[in-house]
Amino acid sequence: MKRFITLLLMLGILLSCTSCLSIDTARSNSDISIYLFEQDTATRQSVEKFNLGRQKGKINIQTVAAERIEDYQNALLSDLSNGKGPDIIMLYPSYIDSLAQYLNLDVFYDLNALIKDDKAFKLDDYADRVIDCGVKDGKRYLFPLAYTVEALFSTEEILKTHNLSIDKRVLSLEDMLALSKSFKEAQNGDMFINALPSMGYINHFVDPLTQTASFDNEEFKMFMEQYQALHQSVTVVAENSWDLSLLPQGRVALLNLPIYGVHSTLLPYQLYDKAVSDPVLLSYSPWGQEGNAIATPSVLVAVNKNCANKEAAFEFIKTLLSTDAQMERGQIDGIPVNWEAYEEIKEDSSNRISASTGGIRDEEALRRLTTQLDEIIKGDLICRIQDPGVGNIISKELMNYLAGSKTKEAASKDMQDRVNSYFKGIPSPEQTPTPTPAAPRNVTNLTLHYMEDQLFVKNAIRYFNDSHTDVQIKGTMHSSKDIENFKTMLTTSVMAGEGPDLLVYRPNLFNSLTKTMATGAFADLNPLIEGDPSFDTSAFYPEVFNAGVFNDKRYFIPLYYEISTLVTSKTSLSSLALTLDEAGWTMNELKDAIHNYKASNPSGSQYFFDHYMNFLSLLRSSGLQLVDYQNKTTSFQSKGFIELMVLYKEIAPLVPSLDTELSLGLTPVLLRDNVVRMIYLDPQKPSYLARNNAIATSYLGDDFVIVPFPTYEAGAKYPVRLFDVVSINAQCQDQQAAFDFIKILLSEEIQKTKTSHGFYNDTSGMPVNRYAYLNEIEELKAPSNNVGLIAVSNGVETTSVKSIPLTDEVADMAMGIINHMAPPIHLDQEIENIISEGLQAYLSGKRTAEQAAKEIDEKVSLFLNE
Amino acid sequence: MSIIIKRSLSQGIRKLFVYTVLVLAAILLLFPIITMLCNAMMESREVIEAYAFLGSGVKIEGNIGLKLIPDKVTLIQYYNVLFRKPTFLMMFWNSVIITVPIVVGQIVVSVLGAYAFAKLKFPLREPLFFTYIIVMLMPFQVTLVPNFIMLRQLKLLGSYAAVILPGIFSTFGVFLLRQFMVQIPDEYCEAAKMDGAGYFFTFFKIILPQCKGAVASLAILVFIDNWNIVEQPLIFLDNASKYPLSVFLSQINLSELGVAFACGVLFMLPALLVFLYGENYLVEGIQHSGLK
Amino acid sequence: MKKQHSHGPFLKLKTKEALAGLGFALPSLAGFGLFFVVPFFLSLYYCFTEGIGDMRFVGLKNFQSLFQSSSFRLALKNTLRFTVLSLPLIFIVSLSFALILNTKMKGLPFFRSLFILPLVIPVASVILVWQIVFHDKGFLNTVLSFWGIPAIDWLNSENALAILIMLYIWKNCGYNMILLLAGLNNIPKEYYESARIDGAGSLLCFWKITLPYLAPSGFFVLVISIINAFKVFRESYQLAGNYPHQSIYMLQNFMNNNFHNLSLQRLSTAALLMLIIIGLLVSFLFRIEARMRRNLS
Repeated sequence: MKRFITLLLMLGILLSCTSCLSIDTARSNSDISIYLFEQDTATRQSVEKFNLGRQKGKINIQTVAAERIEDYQNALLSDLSNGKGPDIIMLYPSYIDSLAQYLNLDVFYDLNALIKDDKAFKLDDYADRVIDCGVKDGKRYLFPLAYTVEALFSTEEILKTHNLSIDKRVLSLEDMLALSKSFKEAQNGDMFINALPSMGYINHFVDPLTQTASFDNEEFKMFMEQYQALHQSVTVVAENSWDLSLLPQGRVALLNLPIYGVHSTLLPYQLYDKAVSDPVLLSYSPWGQEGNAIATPSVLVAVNKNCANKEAAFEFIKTLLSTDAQMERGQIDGIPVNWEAYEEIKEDSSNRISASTGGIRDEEALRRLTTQLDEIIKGDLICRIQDPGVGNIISKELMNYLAGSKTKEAASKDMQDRVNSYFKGIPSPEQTPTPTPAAPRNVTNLTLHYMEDQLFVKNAIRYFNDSHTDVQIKGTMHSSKDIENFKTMLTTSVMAGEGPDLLVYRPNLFNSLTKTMATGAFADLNPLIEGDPSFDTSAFYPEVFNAGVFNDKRYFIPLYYEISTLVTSKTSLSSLALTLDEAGWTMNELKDAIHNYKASNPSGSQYFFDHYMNFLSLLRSSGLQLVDYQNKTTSFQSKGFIELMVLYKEIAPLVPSLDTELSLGLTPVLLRDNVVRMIYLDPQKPSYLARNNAIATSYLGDDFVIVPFPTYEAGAKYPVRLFDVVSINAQCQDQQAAFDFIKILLSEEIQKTKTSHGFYNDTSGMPVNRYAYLNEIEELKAPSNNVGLIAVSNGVETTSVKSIPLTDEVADMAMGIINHMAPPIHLDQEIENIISEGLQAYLSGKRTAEQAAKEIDEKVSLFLNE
Repeated sequence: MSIIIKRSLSQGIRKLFVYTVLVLAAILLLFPIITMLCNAMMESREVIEAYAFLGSGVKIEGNIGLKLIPDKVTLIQYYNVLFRKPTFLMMFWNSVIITVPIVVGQIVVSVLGAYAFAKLKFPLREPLFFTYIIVMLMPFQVTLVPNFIMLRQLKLLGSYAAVILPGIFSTFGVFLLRQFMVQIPDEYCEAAKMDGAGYFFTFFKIILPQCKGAVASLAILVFIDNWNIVEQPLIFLDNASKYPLSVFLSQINLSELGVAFACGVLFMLPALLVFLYGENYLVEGIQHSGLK
Repeated sequence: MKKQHSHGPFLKLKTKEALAGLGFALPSLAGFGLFFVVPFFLSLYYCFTEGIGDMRFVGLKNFQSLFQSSSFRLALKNTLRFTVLSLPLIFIVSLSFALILNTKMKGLPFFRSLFILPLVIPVASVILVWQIVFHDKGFLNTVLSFWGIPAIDWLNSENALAILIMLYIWKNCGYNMILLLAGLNNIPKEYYESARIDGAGSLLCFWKITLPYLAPSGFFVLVISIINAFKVFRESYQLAGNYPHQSIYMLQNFMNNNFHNLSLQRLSTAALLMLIIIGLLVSFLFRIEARMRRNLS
């Protein structure tokens, strides 16, 4: 009996598993393809979710690199016209030159056929006015996934002053005209709107999908006249056009800002502390269609007619349209078409904004804005897919007219002709003959593994692959969730004589960097450097650059580093009787300062540091040499270390926890109000330096100063801490090419904050390339590079300060510290763990300082002798 | 008369003693399971609160101890695990895909091999058996890298076979069964041989039925062992979607305390069921005795 | 020990048996060779080399530096200590329970099942529960505080070894007990009956009948116990970290740490040494078992 029951149970479990996995029925067999941009994470996530557990009918992604828009278009068009092309087509109207080209190819499959067969799919769930934008002659070729709305920000006061009803959500062209006239008279204002909307107006006259246009008529000419009148009332303003504070200042009546999603209605408001207390959200209607706001789809999806597995493709579209996926997309691409997702985001946005404003802001006003957006979206919308080709023609001719070089009649006629021929005469993209496969080149592939927050690697890979034909680098990224698995894989494959050819990592990736290097698993880079006369090592800070040398062999090259610094105020320093000159300060001075501070603040309600302060940072910067790897000796029982532990025990109560600090407020505010005295900052790479300068100046004026961490010995230099480093595997077949890649990583182009194409080389450390650092510092001193606002946030509260150019004084402060840097003191991750554990035991009182130091000593000895 | 009373008294005392010892032992042994079950019925928040002291750097005053009685009994943890995390079921399935072939394979290979080592004399039998045992004693860290190289040569790396095949040929099964088969008196085999039976017949009809208990034990032990392997799948499988549940569970750290207990219970369930299912065979085998 | 018969029919029999033996053992031998023997020789090779980038042959240098390493010596000492303490202990405990459960009292099958349960619990959950119990503010210390005894630092003191042994016994005695039970049941009841008729007491029965007949299972249990002693270190790392208190730093810690630090050769050398020691121990037990078995038949 018992056996029978257990057997049943087991079968039951097995059955439930299999049933949960059979998402996909046995019908679909073949895989389907899709082309995706690298940064299209929303779609990528949906694909991954779709593929999960699916053995057949999976989606294969072909990735297009971020700035390769040309390539994307060309590939898409030529593949589609050749009858190949992706099975699922993602269309971004802003990335394509011409919609008509795609329509003319006639490759889109009528989705209505698939929708009809699927009982579970309800069109009602989606924004009705928007989803039909892809329907032509009753056939649904394209399905929008998200859309944007053109929004105008104003205030109730402005509307009232100029006789416009605050309940009218959508302004017509006449309304705009009236407002502009009234504004000009009353305010003598220089601007009534920051940017004149244009394309939306023409919607009445042209429909890119049905390919109809009618410009050569009286109606259009009347529009042109009115538009011209409007145009004359606008002056272009050089200032930051996100600045909502211009509204109550009376300098502008309307601000034209795009709505990329629900959150962006609230974003301008969020950044400006009480600048506007009565905001109003409006939209405008196309000519001749009063009351209809304009929506533009930002991303559409279609199914290729030649797709072999349309059921799976439709399943995927349903995944894209599911509430979860739409909620993701609603953060990036625009307002989601899925109503449920929209409602969820709306709810979530107001909650999030309310929370982040900490109750300081006007929640009422925020809620009003959300309601107003709701009215616009749920009102009458006209949704047309933009065709940039048509748009170009129209704006060109319109400009001609506005500038006076063509008459109304001439301009409108030309417009009509050109658009007509555009629709008809577009030569179908040349049947690009399938290129005869070139004689297969011997391409060596180098593998590179890196971590997720190292964007500069991606940029460097692109540079390398573009400039090398016979070697290509294939990069694999690992996220921080993945790290443990990756470490095990890495150690095993390296020991087995394999592993990636190139590795970009942080020293704490390996439990013991020194032991790993000692095995010789990574190549000695010295021969490569010596063999390359064009490589100038003087371009790099030697203390950092040479940190990868062990026993005269160079196993890695550091790319970024940090010198730990603190920001404090001059008044604090003087009240603590600290004089910080060129030579920095010592641990003893810190100890005295802490004692004095505690003596004068016995209540203990004040803090000294912010929550980032920790023992290991103090230890690393102290300059204490505690481990001798060569001779396998340790000196944790030395006076210096024990004193440091004792000092830290005194400091610990003066360091607030993260929660406490968040409840007290924003960190710069705390510094200003002397709630804390010293803040431990992120590495002072140029962009952060400028940013911190702006924030500190805004709150502390001239009073702030950047100081290094204290050292154990007086006048000692400041040990750096290594961030990202790069190594070549000793087994790598083409070390010369790998070294070329390293040179790219070290070049100014990649070491700067942004490449010359404007892509971010996101990393948190300071560049080892001194020219990258110095040149960027100079750039940041220029006023033109410092516009806009900087958000200051601790995750709970947000506010903003104006950006200012970097001053010489602050730059010199930072330079002074850099000029005093010392090589890093290597502490393996394993050793740091042991130290932390020992410290914990001491802080919690389980051990005395001497006992804790002794235990650390023993354990580290154990480690060294293994 | 008094002797009889005395004997029944001493019997009674002995029984009492035995039962007490057993109950105490049972509590000690069951203690973690009970903890798991109770904690799996609490809400995530409660669990995290109760065991927050495990995190380092958290300052808690006083002692906390163990929380056995939930403030509110709820099955939400199970719900979270099964439905909110879709990967759970997939990994469960992966565990099954890996473990079942290993169990079946090892049993088949082992009965054949054990018979040979126990009853058939062939050259180098004893030294070979000795090496079987020795090799089994090597810790996995040592064989990991050579295995990696081996599997790479065989082009098996990354597929399930990389984990399953080494598992099937583990020498544990041969070892266990050989010890049992050795206990079966040789007279059986002699008798069969007299009757003209071939080796295979002897094996199938005579030895095998007597080993039911041992085979059942083997199945249970192999199942439990392989249900819990972590390092080999981690290294030899190339895709996170192929990982079995044991890997996932080993990575549940304090950040996921909320579902850790429910996960543990669900993970334990199949092993438990297998044991319960096979237990009768086990008992049968144990109770079978005598020369018949 | 093999008798070299040169008589015709006998030879044929022996060869036939040998062939049959090899045939039956073939699948096992093939797999064993491929997945165990070859890797073993590979790691043997590593013992005599150095470096990963370019492996050089260095002869006995690895062995030399191993013995010079204080960490290795500590690990070796601790492992031997642990083994010497825990093996007899677990054997006695398992045997006692097996004997108790071998009688025909009510409810015993239930207890039998119970004993297996610790094996079934996944490792991660075991760790979690044991962490809770032995933490500074955990269960045991709370109980002690009720009686006014100050908290004991369980894992970071000399107590650590005791705890590890307890963990080991807790987890594995069920396993061993079942095997010993099976072994006990294979001893024909008639032997006991005839012994009792001859007037032997239970102690004598135990020494002369139970133990000798238990030899094969007993040997098996001992060997498995050694293996499990190494497996318990999976729990040990997670409980006490890579560098625990001095008294529980074992060979497994040594090897695992070297693995993570890519010291492949060090690892292999230590493993080889360990294998040699265990090999000696096992061969010793093996010989005793063989002798006891021979005495019976």
